[in-house]
Amino acid sequence: MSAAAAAVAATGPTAQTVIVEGVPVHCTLAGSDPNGSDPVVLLPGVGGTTASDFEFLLPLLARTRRVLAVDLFYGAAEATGLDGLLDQLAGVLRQVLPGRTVILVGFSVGATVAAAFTARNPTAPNPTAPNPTAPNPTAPNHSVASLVLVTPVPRASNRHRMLAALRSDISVNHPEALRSLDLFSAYSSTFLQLNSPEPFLPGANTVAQLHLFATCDLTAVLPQITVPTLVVGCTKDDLAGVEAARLLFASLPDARYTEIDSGHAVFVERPAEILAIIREFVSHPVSHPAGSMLEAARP
Amino acid sequence: MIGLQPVEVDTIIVGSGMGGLGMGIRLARETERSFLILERAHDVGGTWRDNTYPGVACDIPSHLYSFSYRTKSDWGQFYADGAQIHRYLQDAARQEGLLPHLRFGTDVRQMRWQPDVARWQLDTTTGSYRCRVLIIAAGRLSEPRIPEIPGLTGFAGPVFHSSAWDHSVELAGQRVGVVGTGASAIQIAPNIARVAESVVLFQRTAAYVVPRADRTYSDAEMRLLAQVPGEIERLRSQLFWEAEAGFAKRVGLPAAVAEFRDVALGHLASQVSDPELRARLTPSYEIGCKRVVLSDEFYPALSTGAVALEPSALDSLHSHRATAASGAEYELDVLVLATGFHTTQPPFATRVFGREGIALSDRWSRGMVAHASTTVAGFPNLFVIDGPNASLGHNSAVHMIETQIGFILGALDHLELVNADVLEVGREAEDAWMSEIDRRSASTVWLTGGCSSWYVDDRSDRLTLLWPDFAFAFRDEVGTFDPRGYRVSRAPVAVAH
Ligand SMILES: Cc1cc2nc3c(=O)[nH]c(=O)nc-3n(C[C@H](O)[C@H](O)[C@H](O)COP(=O)(O)OP(=O)(O)OC[C@H]3O[C@@H](n4cnc5c(N)ncnc54)[C@H](O)[C@@H]3O)c2cc1C
Repeated sequence: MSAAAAAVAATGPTAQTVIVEGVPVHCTLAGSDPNGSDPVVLLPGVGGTTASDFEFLLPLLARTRRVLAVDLFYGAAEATGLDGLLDQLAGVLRQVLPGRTVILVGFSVGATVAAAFTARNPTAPNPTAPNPTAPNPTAPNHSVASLVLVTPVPRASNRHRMLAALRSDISVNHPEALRSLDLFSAYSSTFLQLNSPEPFLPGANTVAQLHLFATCDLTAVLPQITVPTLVVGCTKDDLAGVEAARLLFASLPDARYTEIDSGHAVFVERPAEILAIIREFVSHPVSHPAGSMLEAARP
Repeated sequence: MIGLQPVEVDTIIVGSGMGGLGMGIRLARETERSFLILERAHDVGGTWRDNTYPGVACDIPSHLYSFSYRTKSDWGQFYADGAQIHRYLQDAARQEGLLPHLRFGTDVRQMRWQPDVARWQLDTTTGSYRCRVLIIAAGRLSEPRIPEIPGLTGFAGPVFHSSAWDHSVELAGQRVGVVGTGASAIQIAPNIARVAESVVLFQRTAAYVVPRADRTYSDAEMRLLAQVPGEIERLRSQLFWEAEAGFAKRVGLPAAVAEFRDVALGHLASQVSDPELRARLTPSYEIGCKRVVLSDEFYPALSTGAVALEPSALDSLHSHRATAASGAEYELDVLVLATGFHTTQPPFATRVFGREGIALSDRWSRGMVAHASTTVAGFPNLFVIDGPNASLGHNSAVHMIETQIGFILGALDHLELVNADVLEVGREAEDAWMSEIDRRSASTVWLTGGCSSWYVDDRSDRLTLLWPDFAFAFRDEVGTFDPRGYRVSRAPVAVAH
């Protein structure tokens, strides 16, 4: 640990609403960064919110740095598609963290947004990347210093479309069965054998998030992501699929990869393990060279 | 055995508990160093050799409370009892070939750095020893704390500390007093109530008690762990990360703290129906500030009257009569002191003398300090396992011990690599480390929870026992030796290794 880190004093999470192009976006800011370390921006996953996904991560990560969690309004972007979401995120960052380079952490469809945002935005110069893109000084947008993609959905497959169709069918014809389907698909068999998690609350964004889940395809823009990236796959994830995470790792020029023994809802199943991984990566993003597979901790 | 020439070895480990044995196993497996393990008792096991009281058990799952490099597929219980852990450690010492390295009955009375030869000189009850590297693994819960109770020496029956249980004393038909409400007292009281005529528990401060829900592993489960590759590691990993999540409760995450408190108070409410008794058992400080105790037997024993609760401290003794601070009086035949240990001021520190003859206890006069929780400025080639800021309130001590062992092996490798003999941390590095420890401690329940606990040094109000972060962070920050902040040098005169 460094003496500089000693100066960081944590502050409690505060919620705020930011208006971007007339759309209200909720976000939560916590922690502080007197020594100027890059803030971390968290994007929740499909069917989730900051409250449901980052209840553990947000305050505990904020013990070591500034953290902003953003609940994008997916519904408003239905007409504009993914680009609309990226504009929303850019608007939030401009208002809440003006001029700051950020570390983006996206979970599930939040990772889709995070990856697309990074591809679209000029990156901070990064000498370790094989093909550093030149920073664009005229761009008003934020640059992303590094990126964490947790059980990401970079490209919808037949399976993703099947699940979305099944879910939408059940929500019309057997709404009460929807709870079981969601629990069943979010958690691993190991977790459900030992725990009885609460059903998910229907979220205002869920349908629009599922639309993104079932239609996205970032294949064309992936080569533009040149910042140091960590991809985290979940070995028991039947929703996003661990193969997607592995392939994404292999598709990015400056990525590392690690896996967690968990279902999709990794922030509930393994909150401390994912915190450990994120905390270490955001502090030392290039301590492992591009292309390396990080060994899981063996406690 | 007592000769004039000291016995010369490369490395000496003091203590043969989890820490000393874990260190010895890795030295034996991975290095060519000559080493000895000096132990004042006549067996290995430390804590688990000394604590044999009725009901002694671990409150960390057995699969986590064992070495990662000596996993055991046939733990019979989710939480092992003390005897099982003791046997595990005895087996480890024997099977890893440590017996020839062990010197029992060897109380290390003085450890003195000799700068002229760059060696540690040890005086012990079996003679003197000299070594290049000294690793102290003397424990932090190994020296019983005996309270100063007027009349204690004049008490007309057997008196013993929980960690030195006198098994020759027959408790059947006896009136027994138990002093304390820590983890030991709460395990002891319901267990001795099964045989004693009466048991009274002197409670100065109520403890938070949460369900233990111990269970046995079935034969099939044990075979699964033995036969399917990777299964035991998966289980350890799951248990470890589950325990890690518990740290949120210690740093004042309001939701996590409230949930934890609800579990404890719900457990109390479900097991104790008498509102007055319940009130007396309800702590007045925040949960987690003192060690949270796991028990399904404690409240029922009080609720049924098998154990009587005296809601104040034991004040004085006169012959058979025990008087509590409340004024209540009890006639007792046997007194059990479950009063804990000298934690913040370890007695071994009075026996260690570093550069310029300074005693470690003087260096630590305002509380224990170390760099990376393991090395102390002014004390070259000395490593302390399970010392300053190296314990946890929420996860296994073995994880911490193994982390420190990895650090020490790395430091020894470094010395070899740079072809030096002496390694010493600088004061600046140690100070920076300590101010970071203080910063992280500030928001924890141990300093904000409104209790006095054995984790905090009352001379400086600093948290000196516990590591104020996740266990994974200890592994990240201490697990690999980092030479920055250290000075290395050659021995002033050549001495044969
Ligand atoms: C009742 C009880 C319950 C516990 N339960 C848990 C639990 O559930 N989970 C958990 O994580 N931890 C628990 N602990 C903490 C436990 O002490 C540690 O987990 C661990 O056993 C410490 O190992 P150690 O080797 O550091 O120290 P110890 O086991 O104390 O071993 C130190 C050894 O050093 C020897 N020694 C000391 N001084 C000298 C000297 N001058 N010369 C020679 N030899 C010396 C002692 O005789 C002893 O054998 C418990 C402790 C107690 C007392």
